[in-house]
Amino acid sequence: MNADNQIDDDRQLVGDILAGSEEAFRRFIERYERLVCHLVFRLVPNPADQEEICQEVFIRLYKNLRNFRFDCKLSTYVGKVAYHCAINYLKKRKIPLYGDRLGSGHDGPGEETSAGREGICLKTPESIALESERNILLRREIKNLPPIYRAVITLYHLDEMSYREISDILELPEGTVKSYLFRGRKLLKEKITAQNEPEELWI
Amino acid sequence: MDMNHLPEETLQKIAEGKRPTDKAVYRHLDHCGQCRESLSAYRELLAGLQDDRGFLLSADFADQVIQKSGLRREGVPGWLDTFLLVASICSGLAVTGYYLLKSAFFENIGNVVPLFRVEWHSLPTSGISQNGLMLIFAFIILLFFGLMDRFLRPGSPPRTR
Repeated sequence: MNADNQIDDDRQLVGDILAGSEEAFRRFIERYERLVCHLVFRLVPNPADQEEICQEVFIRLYKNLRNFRFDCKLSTYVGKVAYHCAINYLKKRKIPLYGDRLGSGHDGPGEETSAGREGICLKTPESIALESERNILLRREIKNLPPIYRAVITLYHLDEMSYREISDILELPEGTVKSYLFRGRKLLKEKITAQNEPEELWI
Repeated sequence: MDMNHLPEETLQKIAEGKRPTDKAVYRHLDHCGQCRESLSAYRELLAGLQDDRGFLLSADFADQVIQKSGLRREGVPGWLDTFLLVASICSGLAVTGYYLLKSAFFENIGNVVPLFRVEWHSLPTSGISQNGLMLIFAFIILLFFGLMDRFLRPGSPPRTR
């Protein structure tokens, strides 16, 4: 679908939702739940709250769609609302957005459980198991990054958004987004390389 | 370019699939095992970052949101919704048919109008035929029953945190 068709489709969808169509709202949820889920799950550390925040995002979107003027893409607007809901959650719990958790290499027991739960892999060969292990490790390290880094990395790699879209969602200059992305990836690479090295000595 | 080692930024770009224009970068990678390892680590990292397993919402997520949003009215099953709509249309048509068949439109409207303290003959009906008035009346009845359907299904406000 090209950009113009996407905008027309989004306009139609929003119009139908505002007209009270449950079916249209369901399509809207299905279209954007992946984006909302990625952002919220990555930013909200407590698994028990994640789905509830996702619901809150869509309810807030439903209430505010009337005010959406199509001055940006609908996906950007959805991302912005999801980001703000997650950030409000973090602020309420006094979790620093830009705070430095980079030095802490260890997780609490809750995070360990969560990472293990996420890492379910049905493939059996050893190489796949190793890859799965690396992914679990990666998820754990992502959780140790400050929220703003996590948001940038998630939007760029999981939702394949451009720097421009990410800067609109996070309300940061494009240069800052690039910088967070670069630094976040560098930190992750260093952490993972450092954790892999001692194991490899034993092999 | 300082060719002791490639800058991290360059390695990240290559890992993303962006081809550097500077041939020196390739030459360096051919000779520097450390940069090749670093590039390989970045490639693995980027592949891992695109893995979106674990982002799962419950199967009835959309239903829960719709319920909480108030878009679907609580307590009214689908069949009752349809029944109310059909009943509204049938009632409207029945009442309209009654007035049309009995030719009692003006006699009955004459009984209703005084309730609103309006003089029937003073209504600005000039230019509208009797059939036209009957159609307007039928439309009003249909509209009334249509709205009654809405009044019968009160929606509860959404409860959000």
